[in-house]
Order: sequence, then structure tokens, then C-alpha cells
Amino acid sequence: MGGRDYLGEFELVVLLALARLGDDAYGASIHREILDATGRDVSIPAVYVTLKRMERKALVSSRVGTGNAPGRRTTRDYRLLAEGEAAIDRSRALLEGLWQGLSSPLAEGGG
Amino acid sequence: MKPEVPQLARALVRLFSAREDRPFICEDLGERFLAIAEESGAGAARRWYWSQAVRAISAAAVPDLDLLNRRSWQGLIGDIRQSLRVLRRKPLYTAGVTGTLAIGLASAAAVLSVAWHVWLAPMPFPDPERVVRLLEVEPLAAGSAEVERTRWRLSPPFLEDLRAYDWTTVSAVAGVSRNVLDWRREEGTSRITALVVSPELFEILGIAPLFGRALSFDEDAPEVVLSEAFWRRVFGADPGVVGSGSLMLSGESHRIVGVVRLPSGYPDDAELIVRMSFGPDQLVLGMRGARYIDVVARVAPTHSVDDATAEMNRVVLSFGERFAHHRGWGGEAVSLTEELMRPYRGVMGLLLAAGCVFLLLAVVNVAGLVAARTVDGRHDRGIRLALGASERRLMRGSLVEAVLVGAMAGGFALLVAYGLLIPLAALVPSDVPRAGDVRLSAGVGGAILALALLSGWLVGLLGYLLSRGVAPAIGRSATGIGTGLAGRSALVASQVALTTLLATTGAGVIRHVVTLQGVDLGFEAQGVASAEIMARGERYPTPESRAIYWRVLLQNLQARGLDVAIATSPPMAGVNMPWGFRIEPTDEQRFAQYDIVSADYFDVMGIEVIEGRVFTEEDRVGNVPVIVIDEASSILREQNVELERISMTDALTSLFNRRYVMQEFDKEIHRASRHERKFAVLMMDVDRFKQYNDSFGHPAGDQVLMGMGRVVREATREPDIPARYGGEEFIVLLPDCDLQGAVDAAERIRTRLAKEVFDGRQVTVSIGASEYPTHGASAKDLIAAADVALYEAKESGRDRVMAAGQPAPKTDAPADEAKKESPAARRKAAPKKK
Repeated sequence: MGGRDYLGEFELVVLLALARLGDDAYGASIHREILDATGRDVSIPAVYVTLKRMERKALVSSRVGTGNAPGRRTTRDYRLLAEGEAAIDRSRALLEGLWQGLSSPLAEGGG
Repeated sequence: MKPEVPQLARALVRLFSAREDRPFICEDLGERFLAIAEESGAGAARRWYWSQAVRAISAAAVPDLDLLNRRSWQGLIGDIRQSLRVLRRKPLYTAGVTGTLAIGLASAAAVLSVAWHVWLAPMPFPDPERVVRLLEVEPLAAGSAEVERTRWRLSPPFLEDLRAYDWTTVSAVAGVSRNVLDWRREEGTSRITALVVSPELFEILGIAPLFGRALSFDEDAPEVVLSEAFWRRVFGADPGVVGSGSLMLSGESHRIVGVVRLPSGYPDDAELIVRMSFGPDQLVLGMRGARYIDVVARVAPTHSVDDATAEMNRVVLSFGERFAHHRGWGGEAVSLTEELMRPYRGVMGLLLAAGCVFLLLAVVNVAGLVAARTVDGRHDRGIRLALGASERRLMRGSLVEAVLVGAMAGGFALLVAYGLLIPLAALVPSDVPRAGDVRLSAGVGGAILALALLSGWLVGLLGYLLSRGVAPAIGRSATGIGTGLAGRSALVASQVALTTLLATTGAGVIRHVVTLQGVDLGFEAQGVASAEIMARGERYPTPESRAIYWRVLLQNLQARGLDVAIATSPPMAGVNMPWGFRIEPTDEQRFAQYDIVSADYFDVMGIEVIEGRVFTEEDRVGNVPVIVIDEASSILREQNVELERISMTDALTSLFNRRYVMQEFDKEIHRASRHERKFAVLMMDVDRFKQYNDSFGHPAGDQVLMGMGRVVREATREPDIPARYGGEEFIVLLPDCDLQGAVDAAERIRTRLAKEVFDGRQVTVSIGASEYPTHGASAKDLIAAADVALYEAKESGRDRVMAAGQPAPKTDAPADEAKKESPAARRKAAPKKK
């Protein structure tokens, strides 16, 4: 991935969830993490579609494992790669750059 | 109770998610579903699951759902009211579009119901994707591709091995089979279908008894589990019968231990379930080739089906090191659902596709009607545009109207489909798994309503697009209706394309049917009727008594003037009986489907004999066992040296067979004529063999024939071709040999045989000789000449050699007796097979 690409909002959400989950990231745990942290009920199939896209861009990697899911069933486990971490940082820098000089939150403070 | 995920939603998720992620997505959804059910209740979890399913569809169909402008829903109620007014004002138009769409939707509903219940719905046991069928994969034949390896069921001894095996990927292994049992009670004995299963099956399929318990593992306790239907019918649903009652099945009292409701689809329906257990005779080494038992297993939650396949393969390989029957074989674990559906996937896909095409055709037609009306109503449109309505607003109006039509059509369609399903369900062949389940379920109904709204939306969109090119007009227009229809040609083209698609599909089906009728079945199907008959195990316990039963049955039927024969697996009966065997002396494992038939079978069925002979009454217990091989079988197809040897060898004497010697005859004549050489023929017949056979029995007769074979082989030269011509007749082809040389060889045979002693008895042989080209230029003439000489040798007192063309010496033996034994005369007198 070249420096010109920035993450989509949903991509960023999923990548941050991966970063929070560490070694325990698979479909159901990602859904739970996003729901618990933001209250947003994301679509699990959409999470997979997004992860696949990001895997193609070498932001994340996946493997089939029998790790942490209840019943030790087989899961597709995802892991954040260095390129993915860099992408998160770039997104953050971009947003923080644009954030400069704006009051927060806008809806109340800015009026 | 554990809440169940909504199956239709689950199927939708499966359908609309990427293949490789499908199992993970479903299991992830399942995990979250349970968690949400625990937190907020089963209802909330089900709603959540449906929302996930809908979003899975929209993620696949409309990637940018978020971009839809939410504000455009304002004023929707107004649009609905307006549309209802329009539709009410034009009842004929409304009926037309609704009716057309309803027909399309009804056919889609019927097709979807069949496809859902037969094909898409998960099998009715817990975690159906973990239930696998274990199979053995035949060794890779030389020169054939990996994909051609046939997969077989398992043999009884191997099933028992696998049940006892210490698996890591599989939690339980069970055999499943069916049997018809004699059920004796006071009113008399009746026959009853039972599933014969290993007790593990209950665990594998998650069959929980309604009452009592499952079969125990105690092999010595005869137990029976009743199906719910049997229990209601016979015991009037009396729970007291469980534990205390018993059934007399095949002469043994079985304790009733439980009542179950069998899952539909697998295994086949049955009245009772009894334990599968094998006697010592079914566990012998030779039975390892009898691969006829369906074996299922449950994959442990910690492993995948692929893991199970890998382990099964390892297990078969390890058994291959110990048993020749498994050598070179591989193993597989395949999803039972896929296995059961494999034969119907194509048909079901076609059915679904046809339903979709039909629906699309209806949609295109209705869109045409809607577009035409829009053109018709452009006066109105012009006014509305002039009043400041946006193009977008107009489009929404036509969409709302069409979706309303769709909703009405969907309602009608469900009513029609309900009536349509009853005849359609009857068309599904009953051997299709779960054919009996086909009905219009709530899930399918919901899907059809959704499809109705979608088609309405599509109609509205199409109709709007088709009419967009029409200029808005206020006041009267000079142009006629329809002339300005922008997409008119596109509309006609799409209708023609869809109709053509339907017609070609239909034609394709018809052609398949016609082709099927023209297929050479290998037998004369005309006038063949079949009946399934079983010898009651209770009344005919021994093989001997059963043999008598069949013989008497055959005689009785023949006495009524019927052409009857008995076969264990007649063509198209679907009986699958593979048998493993070896072609000696190699230890290469082979297998074939086999059929046990009565002697007249080939005659009755009109099966053509290509080489050799078919069975006769002589082929009975105690004689040399014989087989007839199917020309198309893999055995002949492989054409290896071993088979070549077998096909030219006589099994009893190990000499060449008649087929081979006749082939060589032609070659020899060709060779001799080209090089202007001579060759000779000997015809030999063991003297008074019939009497010998009758007095001392067939086994003793066989000893003589084998001795004769040995003598002939020893007394002839390397290039000579000695063969058994049939019965006690032998022939020798002597290349590069004249009549005198042949007579010398014949004398050697005669004197050697005279010295042989068989159980203290001695036999003699009469021999006739002929010579090419002196006594004929064809095999037929040469054999006839040698046969005449042989006849003369018999006539002049036997135990002698006669050359063709020699005058017959005076004989002291009575001529008529000799005549009786003449091979030529006997051959003529022998009844000819039809």
C-alpha cells in the first residue's frame, strides 16, 4: 500500500478492534469488541469482507486456528500486521491534523 | 433449552457470504447469537440474527447502502396514498400487473419451497456440518486420474475396527444399515423394516428418545427402539410399553427400551431400530472386501472435517499395511449433507434457475405494462413536473406504486403457491431425501414476500427507466401511444431472450429424456417384470434350506409358463454389492459389483453372451465355482497381462481355453499358408467319462480332467497349443508338424494317461488327428476331420489314436454305444442356448 491511501471509516474501526484484541481476534470477538466499545452492532459478514480486502492490502493476516472460541471450535483468526499499524497511525495523524483549531465536540461547543 | 438460530436467516447468510468464510461466519454468528440470547433473550437474539442476515444480503447486493438518502423517506405515506388512489382508479390495469407478477412469484414460491426443504435447509440434527460419512477410496489404477478413484462404503470388519479405534478428530463412529425382520405376535408373523445401527448413531445424529433410552452397548442384550409412528400405531402411544414390553423379532425377543422420532432426510424412515452386531462369519478376513455398510461419524468440535479426512486416510493406510484388502486404499470423511444432496444439486439448481427466469419474465412483462401506462399518463406527469415536482419525486412515486403492486402480488402468489405445492410435491421422486418435508413454510413465505417487494421495486425502476425518454406534455399530443417508449426495443429483446432461455432449457430436458430412452441397457427391457422376494430367515435358517426354497420357487413359477430367473441385484434395482477379490498369483486388490443369479438369468433377461458360456445347471455347489464377467467392467477394461492370461486359460486344467485356441487357429492357418508349411490338430476325448463322473462323482471327474491337462502339457512341445475344448474334450494345435508327428504326440499322451492312477482307478483316451492343408483349409474343416478320426477311434474300441483319412479298423465294440459317446454326435444333440 502506498502512502496515498487512507483507511475507510469501517476499516479503521475493524483495525482498531484487532489492535485491542491482540491474539484473540476472530469474527465473533471482533463484533463483541466493537459493540462493547462503541455500542455499534456491525455486520459480521461485512467485517469479513473488510478484513479480506485489508488482507489483500497486507494490513492484516489470517490463519485457521482452534484458539479461544467457546468449545475450542475452528475460527479464522486475524492479526494486525506492521503495515496495518502504520495505517492506523496515518489515519490518526490525518484526523488530528484536521482537528487542529476546532473545538470539541463540535455539536455543542461550535453551536 | 438452548435457543436455535433462525434457519432461513442462516441459509441466507450462507448464500450471500464468500465460500471460504462461510463456515466461520456462521459459527461466529452462532456464538454471538448465544451470547445475545443469554443477555437479552431468545427473541432479541433472533431479531439480531435476522438483521445480520439482511445486512449480509445488502452487503452483497448493494455495497453502498449507507449512501441512501434517509430523508427521501419523507412523504412516503403521501406517495402510498396517491398510488392506492391510482390503482383503484384503474382496476383492470391493477389486476393485470398484479396477476402477472403473482404467477411469476407463485412459481418462484413453489420452486423455492422444494429447493429449501430438499436442498438448502440444514439437516435436522445438531451441527449437521459436523456429521460426516466415512469412505474408503479405491487404489489409483495405473494411468487413470486421481478424480476417477471411486469411493466405497466400509466392510463389517473395518467398521468394527473404526469403532474401536482411538480417534482424535472424531467423537463417534456408527454403521447404518436396514433390514427387514420377521415380527411374530399372536395375530401372526409380519415383516417389518428396521434400521440396523451401531448404538453410537444416537449420539452422532443427536437423536434423543421421546421416552426411555437409546440402544445400549451390551451386545448380548437384544433391544429395540421404536419409531414414534410405530409406537402410536401398535401400542396406542402407551408409555408403559417402554422398559417392560418386548417384540419377537426374527425369532428373538427384543426388549423395548425407547421411542424416538427419526430425523427426516437421514437415515431412511423405518419402524424400528435394532443394534448392529456381526457374527464371527461376518468378521472373517474375506469380509474386508464386502464394502456395503454406510458409516457415519461426528467430527469433534475441536477439529474440522478436513482434519477428519486426514485422520481417516491415515487410518486406512495403516490398515493397508496389515491387510491386503486395504492395501493402496485411501480414506475420506465427507459432509453427510453434501453427500446426500450431491445427486440432486444439479436438478435443484436448474429448478431454482427456471423459477428465477420465470419470475424475471413476469417482472419484464409487468414493467412493460407499467411503462406503457406511464406513457399513457404523461399528461399527468407533465402537470406534476410543471407544478414543481422533481424528477426524483416522480421516480419515487412510480417505485412506491410498483412496490405496492408487488406486495399484493406476493399475497396472491402465496395463496396460489399453496395450491400449487401439493401437485408439485408429488412430482418429487420419493427417494429424494426429505421429499416428504416439502411444504410452504413461514420462512419460505417470508422470503417470497421479500422477493415480491423486490420484484415490485424492480418493476417500478424498469418501468420508470423505460418511460423516461417520453417528453412531458401538457395538452393533447400528436404522437400515438408508445411511440416514444425509450426502452421499447430493450424490453422486447429481454422478453425474447428470457423466453428463448426457457424454451431451450425445456428442449434440453426433452432431449435428455429421449437420449435416455435410446440408451442400450444391455438387456431386453421389453416385458421384464420384477418382484422382490425374500426367504424368511426364520423358516429357512440354513443356506441349504434357502437353496431348496429358491429351487422350488423357480420350478413352480416355470411350471406356470413364465420365463423366470432369480438375481440378487437385477439391473436398475440400485442394489450395490461390491466384493473385493484378488487375481492370483498377484496380491493386487480388486473389487467388483456382483450379482448372484440363477442359471436361466441371461436367457430370461436377453443378455448377450460375448465370449465363453453362461451358467448351466451343472454349476452347483460342489463343482468348480464359476463367474461371468461384464464386458464393460473395470476388470476387462484394464487389459493387463494377468487378465489376458485368465481370459485364455481354462481354470480347471490350466490349459488354454477354447476361445484362445480358436484365435490361434486362424493365426496358424495364416502362417502355414504363407510359408507353405503343415500343421496338425489333435482332438481328444476321455473314454467313458460320463460313466466315470456318474459313478464316482464330479470331484473325482475333475481330478481326471486335471490329470489329463497335466499329461497333455507334459507330452507336447513348447510351441504346441494344448487346450480344453469343452467338457472332457481336449484339442492340441501342433505348429510345424505333419500328421505322423501328430500321431506320435498323440501316442505319447495316450500311453502316459494310461499310466496315471486316480484314486486307484485308471482312464483311457481316444484321439483323432488331422493335418493342414491335407484335411482342410479352415479351422472348422480341420476340427471336423480330427473329430471324425476320433469318432472312428471310439468306434474301434477306444484307447487308441486314429489319423484322418485312415480306414477304420474292425472293431469289437458295439457301434451304437460308441455312437452315443461320439463327441460330434453329443455336440449336435446338446441343447442350444437361445
